[in-house]
Amino acid sequence: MKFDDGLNGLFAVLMGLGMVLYSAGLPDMPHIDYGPGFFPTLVGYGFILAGSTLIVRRIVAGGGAVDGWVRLRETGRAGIMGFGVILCAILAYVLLVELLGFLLLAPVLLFTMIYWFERRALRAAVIAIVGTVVFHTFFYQLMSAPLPWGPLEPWAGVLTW
Amino acid sequence: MVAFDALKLVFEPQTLIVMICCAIYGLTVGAIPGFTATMAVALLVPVTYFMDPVPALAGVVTLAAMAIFAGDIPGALLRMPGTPASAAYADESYQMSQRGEAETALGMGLVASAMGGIFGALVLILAAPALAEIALKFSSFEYFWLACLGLVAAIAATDAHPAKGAIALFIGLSIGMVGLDPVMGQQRFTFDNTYLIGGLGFIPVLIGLFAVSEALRYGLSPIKRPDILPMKASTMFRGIWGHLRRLKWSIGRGAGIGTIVGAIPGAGADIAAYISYAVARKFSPNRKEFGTGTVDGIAPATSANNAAVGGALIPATVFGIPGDSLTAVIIGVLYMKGLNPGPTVFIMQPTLLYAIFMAFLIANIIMIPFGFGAIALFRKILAAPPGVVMSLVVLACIVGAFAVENTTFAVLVMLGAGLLGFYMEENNLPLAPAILGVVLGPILESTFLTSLAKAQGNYLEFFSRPLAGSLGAITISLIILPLIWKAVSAKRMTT
Repeated sequence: MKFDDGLNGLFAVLMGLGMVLYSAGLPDMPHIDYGPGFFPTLVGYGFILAGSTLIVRRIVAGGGAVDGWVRLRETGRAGIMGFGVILCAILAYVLLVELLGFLLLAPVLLFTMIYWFERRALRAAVIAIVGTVVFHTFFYQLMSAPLPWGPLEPWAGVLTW
Repeated sequence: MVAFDALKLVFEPQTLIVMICCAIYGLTVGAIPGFTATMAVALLVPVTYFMDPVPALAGVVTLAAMAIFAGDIPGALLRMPGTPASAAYADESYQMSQRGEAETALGMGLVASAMGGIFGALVLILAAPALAEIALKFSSFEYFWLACLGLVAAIAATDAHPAKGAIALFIGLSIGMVGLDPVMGQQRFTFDNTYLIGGLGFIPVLIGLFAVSEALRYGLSPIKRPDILPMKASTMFRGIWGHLRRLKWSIGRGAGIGTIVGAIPGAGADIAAYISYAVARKFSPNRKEFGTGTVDGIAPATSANNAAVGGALIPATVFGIPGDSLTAVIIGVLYMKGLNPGPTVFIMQPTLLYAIFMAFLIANIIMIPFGFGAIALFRKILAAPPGVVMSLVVLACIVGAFAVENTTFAVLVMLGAGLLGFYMEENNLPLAPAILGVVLGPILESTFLTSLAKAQGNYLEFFSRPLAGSLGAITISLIILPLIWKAVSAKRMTT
């Protein structure tokens, strides 16, 4: 998704304005001239300057123009769905991992992604199961990362080797 | 004695196993078009979190060395450089492959890469401690200007418009400002969220910017499996000795250029390769063959990009100032492992640091057999269905971010950084200044405020010490000179 550079510049200016206003609200420290808001204020002004330069360049030289304000890559519905599959897989992990646990959720996520990109159900299922076991063995058992068990918690001892 | 102890640490079984695994991983990921060396390191960082410092860092530097070379393989056989560092001569080696000389292009590239890497590693081992002695005399003024120099050079080194480079840098600085401010410990940009008090996690941000953004891009337009040109790995080293004897000075010059360019904060392996290629073209007796597929162009450039990794590690370890995005990640790992980069680390923990340098040297030596294996197996590596590989990468991203912070909030941060990285790449906002901003932001702020307090608000004090003044002048000239050059060129065009 490519934005016209006029819009990109505007985003930067707005970001800078937000930072300057937010920093102005940060408390001053007693006996110290340069408080926690000083550096963010400078960064905010930097955003405004760089964003304005981009807008001026767009107006004067026409650099960074796209058809309309936003140009979507010509990937069609399949492309947008592919983007959505990856986005939703990550969001699903955030929302469901505590509820379902890693061993139940990861195979579903892997199967969905692999099937979407490769369209071969058996291959997707086998890789999803083997991949989950490999990831779980590596991170949980070798690296001691606390991946959630969810409803499988009572069988954690049996499922760990 | 320190060198002996360091070697003992490197030759411990755990370190060697990690180095071998990272070599295979680096060569595999580097050889797949679209997967950068920085992405490979980003995915490895969560794993290093659970390791001892020496195997962790030995693994990271081995991976960096291997991934930079591996980028040459798809460049020669598919005309798709595996990493940006191989782009300078991908066309040259592809043209050789089209003539049926892929073996020579890759064999020569492998040997020259290893030679450049070894040269860079030796310079690192010899120069870094000497520079550290000088750096001990640095005050906050010098560190401030060094951080500025790194950031300004990072903007100057990108292909994007300077305003876009600056916006990318400010995005990185903003990410680094979330949490407690480094001087007073006051909360900023936390919006009453307790997860944000410690700041946005470096690892989730890193994985998001470099790996999730790549996965999202793949989701939008999956890569088709390209056709590979034929090649016989067994004949790879035939005739190499003659080329090596003929090009020894050219390769040496490439390694020298690579080390120096790599050591300049902000400039990285890709720029080193471009400069070395241009210099080789200027001085080669066969300059007319450049652009038609000749090892005379490939060898010096590939030697330069591998030497640049060693060069970039000099400012990274001595000053804590990264040379490029790859070394920015390595600095992050150094901090994570309690090896706070800077001159004092050479006094406090010299054995650990030398062990890492030795590991980097060994990685460049073992590059020849491992690289040969990667070239021989390239067809098999590329046969892995891209959809499967990318799905596994997405799961690795999720588990990596989650495992390090043990909270799903880290996965959300990673997703946010991934969407930001996707937006940035789509709109030509370079990622390198952003990641440098994340790493250097807290250093820049604390040295700036400390210096200002010392100078009692007098900005001229920033130029009062000879070294600080020189660094300041170089930094400001990097901003002003391109503007003057542009104005003069524009005037010439109109007249």
